[in-house]
Amino acid sequence: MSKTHVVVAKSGLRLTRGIAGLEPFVPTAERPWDAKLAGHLLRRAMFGPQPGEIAATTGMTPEKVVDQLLTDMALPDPPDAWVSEPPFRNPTPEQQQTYRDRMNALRFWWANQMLTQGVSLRERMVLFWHNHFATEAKDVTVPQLMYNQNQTLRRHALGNVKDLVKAVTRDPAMLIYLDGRLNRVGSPNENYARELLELFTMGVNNYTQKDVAEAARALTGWTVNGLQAEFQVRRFDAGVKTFLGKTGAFNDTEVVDVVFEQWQTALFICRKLYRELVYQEPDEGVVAELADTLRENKYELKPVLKKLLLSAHFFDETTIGSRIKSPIELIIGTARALNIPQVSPVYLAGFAGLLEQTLLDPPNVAGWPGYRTWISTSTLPQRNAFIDELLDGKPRSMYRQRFTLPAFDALGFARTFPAPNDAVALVKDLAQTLFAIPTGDGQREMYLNALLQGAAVYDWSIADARAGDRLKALLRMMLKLPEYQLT
Amino acid sequence: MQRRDFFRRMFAAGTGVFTVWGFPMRAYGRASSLGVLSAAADAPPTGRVLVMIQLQGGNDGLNTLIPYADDAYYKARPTLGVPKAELLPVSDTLGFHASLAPLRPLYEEGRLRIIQGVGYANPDRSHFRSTDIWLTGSNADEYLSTGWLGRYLDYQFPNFQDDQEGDPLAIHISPVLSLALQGKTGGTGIALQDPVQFFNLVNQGNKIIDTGAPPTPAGHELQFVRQINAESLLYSKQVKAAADRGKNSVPYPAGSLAGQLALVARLIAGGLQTRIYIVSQGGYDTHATQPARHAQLLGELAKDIAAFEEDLRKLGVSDRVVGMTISEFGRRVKENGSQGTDHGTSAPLFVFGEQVRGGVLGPNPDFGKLDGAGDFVYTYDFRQVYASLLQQWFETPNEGLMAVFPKGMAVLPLIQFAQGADLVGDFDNSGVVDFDDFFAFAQAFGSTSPAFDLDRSGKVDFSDFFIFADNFGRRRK
Repeated sequence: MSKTHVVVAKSGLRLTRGIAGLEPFVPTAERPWDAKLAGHLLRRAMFGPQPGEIAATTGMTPEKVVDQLLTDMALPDPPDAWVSEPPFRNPTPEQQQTYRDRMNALRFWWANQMLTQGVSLRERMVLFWHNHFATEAKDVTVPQLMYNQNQTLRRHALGNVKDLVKAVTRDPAMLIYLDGRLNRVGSPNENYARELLELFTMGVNNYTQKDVAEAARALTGWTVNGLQAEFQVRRFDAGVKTFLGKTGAFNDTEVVDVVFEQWQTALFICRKLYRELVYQEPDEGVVAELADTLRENKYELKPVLKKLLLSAHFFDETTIGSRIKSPIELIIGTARALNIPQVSPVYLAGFAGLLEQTLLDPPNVAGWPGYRTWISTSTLPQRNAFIDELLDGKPRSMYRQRFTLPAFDALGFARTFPAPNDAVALVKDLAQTLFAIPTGDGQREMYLNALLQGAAVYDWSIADARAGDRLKALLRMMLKLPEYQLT
Repeated sequence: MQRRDFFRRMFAAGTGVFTVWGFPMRAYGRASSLGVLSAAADAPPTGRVLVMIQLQGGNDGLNTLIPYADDAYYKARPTLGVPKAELLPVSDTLGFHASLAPLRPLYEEGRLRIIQGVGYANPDRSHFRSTDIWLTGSNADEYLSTGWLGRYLDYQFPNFQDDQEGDPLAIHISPVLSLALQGKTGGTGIALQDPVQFFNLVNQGNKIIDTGAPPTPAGHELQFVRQINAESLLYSKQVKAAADRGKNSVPYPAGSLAGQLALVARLIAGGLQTRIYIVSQGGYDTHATQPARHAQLLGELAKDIAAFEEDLRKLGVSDRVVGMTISEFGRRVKENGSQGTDHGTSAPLFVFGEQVRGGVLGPNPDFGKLDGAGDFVYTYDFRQVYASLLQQWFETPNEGLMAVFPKGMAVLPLIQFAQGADLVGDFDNSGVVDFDDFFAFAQAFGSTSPAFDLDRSGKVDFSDFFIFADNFGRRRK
């Protein structure tokens, strides 16, 4: 067990946490680079690893794995040719329906990227940035623009944060969503300026109302023409602005440059990253160090991500299993963990919606509140219902009229483990793959009983006629444990 | 009340312009509907239950309540039209589909309310979208993430999540919770299929590991998830206990809906304090070979409701329960080429129960006034039915109605009125709604006279006439 101390969180809660910082994690005999730690890295960096991916990763060094996670990849092909069609002018009800259908197609396309991505941090970060620069499809309405925004987030997902903020500032979907296109000289609209400072970069209380007004002036001139952002010089306020103590005839990129001169900006972004990748209650010392790294590297993300994902703090025993799974993590992660990637992304994205996370439609510009709000007396049983549906291959929810699910091949799944005919080993391997939190002897005993249902250990064979049913019963029990909601 | 005054108060109450609340429960009638605007948000009467039956797929309303006197009906339905000889007339112009025979006694005893032409503006013909619209209570072009019942429960029981001793506020007999029950901060009810299974499912998770979690971040979060799990467990225990205590007093027919209604009756009789139940019957998407299927579905629905009502009576709880059917749309007016009907628009809706005000409300479907696609134009917005039930059954004050439908909704008389309530349509205060009142109403027809604007829509129109007609002949008790 690593060294710990008791920290009092803002909520007043006393937490036992590791004292380890951002120094690199070094495997030891006591804490070797094994399925547990490699699984932790993959669980946090992806939506959930497939069992084979954990096994492959344990054969590599942590550095190699993180390098792979951070490797740039080509952008995926678009869902369809409509992504480059000009938008409808004053869409008719039929065209509005076409838009909604395409928006759904885009959701499914995105869910498919998550489902089929390899060992990479990218898709995780695309969702992170979507939640950060939250934009609601139901307000933007034009699916092409949501697609373009999604690809912009993907292009910059592991890149430079300052460039990303500049790109989002001129993103047509964002110009529509936060009224940037209505912001013009003499008639400023402060909507985007305020959220830029409050939600996207600095956080509240670090600027004044005057700063918001001056930033809004600097952000004028941009509008949307077809699928493109367009700068119209006659709409731009070319006057001198004083913003966060700086004075000049700023435009939008210069405003973002000034924002990124603020120490608060790096801190704000790193705190949010920390919450995504480590834990909800930030260790402010670690956050400050990450913010330093971000500034030293001119807002390039990779050095920060690398430092964090290889740190002793990240791999500390007290970090593991402390994150509440979002619906997407639960749904995509379960399909991946059970090796059933052929399950329809339409179904998966739809079920995520039932669990309160409809891709492209966060509740508002602040994004999904996440963390504990994901779990309630109704969403928890619903999460469990999802497990049943997936294991039974029977959608019983509102989607049943539209889908057939692949039958889950429990025996085929068991055969992907090294010793499927050894009940003790199989149960141990399953627990290791499915749970972030280590399983004790007592629990393993329980799992074994669920699998054997009274039979002796040596009776177990996957050739048995009822072996598939028994495995399913075991998985059903395991995947409905409170432990499974954590990652 | 002066009209100007009326609007001023409406604006003060934050409503839109022409759709406002009328027919307050206790001050029903022309006297002063606005008296309740300032009424305090009292708790709803204890023990009252609303059961919503969702007919999935879009029920063919035109072949449910059949305007048999209208030739246009038989023209539009050359093969599906139900001959007069085969239906059950309930008036000179309307008849039940023969399969609804088990509901006829309810109708005759005044325990069945049928509201004709229920739909909404710019109807969406997608099952999923239109279902969402009905469940959230949104406009056709509006996407809400909360359900109408969720908003009601959020308003009425703002602290329910802190009250861990209480029974669940709402139960959806389903594996996943209905969108209708989504509140601001999550579900306002629970989803379960069968109390025993629910109990086992929840119980299973909890029994397995009872070791205390360490005070690490993971242990702390695990504790939280277990807490939620335990709350489900508590509910599951209460639900199971109620299901064990309650016993059905009559046999129910076979089938899924019957099973669901039997369970609801058991839970109510078993003492569960749950306010709202949602059950469903699938299969109404009758694009082909409709006659036999539709007859079978309606037959099942009617038999199940009749058994449910009889059961509730024998169990002594029928005074506390009101049911309602909803369906995402009716079918097209014209049948299609495969002995079926495609997705249409408005349709009749049933409200039933001991306390319901019986009879048919609203004009027959108007074949002379079809929309661009050749389908019916709705008479009543479905949210008027919702709002009316909230107002008259749960006695929700205006403030609460505004929380559910911020733009306001004209309401309809669905529930019998409390003793001493004013008699609607008795304009001359003679104690009976008679021809004198009719002539007064006819004089005012087309005007904006508030005294005759019974649904407070801003205009004295046919909608008011149907409410007036509904009251014709009634006497003050």
